[in-house]
Amino acid sequence: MPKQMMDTLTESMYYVLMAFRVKDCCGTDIVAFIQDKTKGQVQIGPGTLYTILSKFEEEAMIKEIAVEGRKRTYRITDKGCLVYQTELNRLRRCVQDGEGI
Amino acid sequence: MKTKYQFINIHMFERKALESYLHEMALQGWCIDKLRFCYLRFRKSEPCDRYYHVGFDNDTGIFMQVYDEGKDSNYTAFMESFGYKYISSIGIMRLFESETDDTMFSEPEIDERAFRSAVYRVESTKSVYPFIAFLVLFINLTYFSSLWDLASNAYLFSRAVVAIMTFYCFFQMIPYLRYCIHHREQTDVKIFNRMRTLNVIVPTTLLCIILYCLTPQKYYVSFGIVIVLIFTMRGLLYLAQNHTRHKTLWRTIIIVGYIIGYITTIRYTYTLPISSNIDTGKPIFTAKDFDKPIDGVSNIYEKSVLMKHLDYIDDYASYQYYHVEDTVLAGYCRNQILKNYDISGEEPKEQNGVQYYQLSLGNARNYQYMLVKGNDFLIIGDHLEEYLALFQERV
Repeated sequence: MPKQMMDTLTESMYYVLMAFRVKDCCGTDIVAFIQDKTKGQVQIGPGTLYTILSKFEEEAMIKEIAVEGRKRTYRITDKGCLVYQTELNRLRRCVQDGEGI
Repeated sequence: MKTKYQFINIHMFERKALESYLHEMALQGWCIDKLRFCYLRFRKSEPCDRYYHVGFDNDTGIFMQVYDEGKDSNYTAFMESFGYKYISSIGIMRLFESETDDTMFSEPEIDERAFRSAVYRVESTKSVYPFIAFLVLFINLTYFSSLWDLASNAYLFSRAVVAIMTFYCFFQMIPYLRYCIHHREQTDVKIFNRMRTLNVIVPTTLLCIILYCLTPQKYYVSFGIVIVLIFTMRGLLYLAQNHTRHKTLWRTIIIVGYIIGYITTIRYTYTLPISSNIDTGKPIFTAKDFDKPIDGVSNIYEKSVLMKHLDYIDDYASYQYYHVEDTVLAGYCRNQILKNYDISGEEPKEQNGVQYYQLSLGNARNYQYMLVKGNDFLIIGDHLEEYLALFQERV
């Protein structure tokens, strides 16, 4: 089941990985990044974000690098970068296919 | 601080209904304070427009579902960093409060999958396994029970408790089975009214039925009076608390008055057993003798609210004696005794006003006759004539 989930990233997952491509992040940083990047078009709830981060960590796509008090910061791994790049290419193909009609 | 308890057992798939219910309660001035396995605790406050959010932390260990507070978990810290205030938790459910109605979950595809896996994990532990465990225990207790178990209060009590728990767990399991079939989360706030009814009325009714079955009819009046006293006492204490100036004095007067009332009721209706004085002939215990067994006689006797049983052996005689109490289950007990000696369908013979059955050979210690008079049963080996006379005289 987890592999199926990661075959195609959802919109929220994609933006979360995008945030990690920019810098190491904690939960609030990610939400702020997505809010800023999408001008509020994409909203991500903390419950959903927690599930996504747990899943990414379980799949070794991100790793925890710092704990300050109760704040945890994560960094993207090579596997996470690869998944992000694959998804980006897939979306490009989708857009090209759509524009080619 | 004024607090209020609601006896509700929350299932995970009722989280949306719970959020709405807690919001309504906050508007009425009752803010939730604690979420527990079978109740919610509210504290009195000013009516306020607060929103509640139920999250679920899948990292909670399966054995910590009842005891884990969840206050220090990563999940709680994560939510608090987004401005949600932690209130309480039970198992993997985490309850948060916020000033706004922003939802904690934004993507159904991800959330639904995680949620269903959490529901299956939690509810199977909470709803299904307890029912199976109690059902197995109930069947086990019923299947392997014998006639002598009826003469044990401990056994009757344990079977009553297991029966109540089996029914209760079954009712608790129904909503989960419904969720497994339809995969629809409960959103109707009225569910909690029904649940309160279920949680309070069903166990109380079952308990009353069991008490009714186990109580000798001669105690009905006294028990009734005690129950009435219990219910009126609470009302009077409430009046003393809210409508009197000298609260402590009035409370003391009421409590002392009720204690006197209880004692008087019990003393008035409870009659002490009459002591026996057997000095000749073979010693037969009867129902009256049970509270004062004869010294120096080797015997095993048991008594419960349903019946009394004596297994008597000495150098001269051996017999078994049963006395069935006058309860609703008296007929059942009588049938069990006859069934135990394989004479359920047989017609008794009668002599000197005492009925007796001839038992088939092969029973333990070669018991040959069963003497019956009303609710008393005497099972003997020989000396039928003597025992008939003695039984008629003593019982």
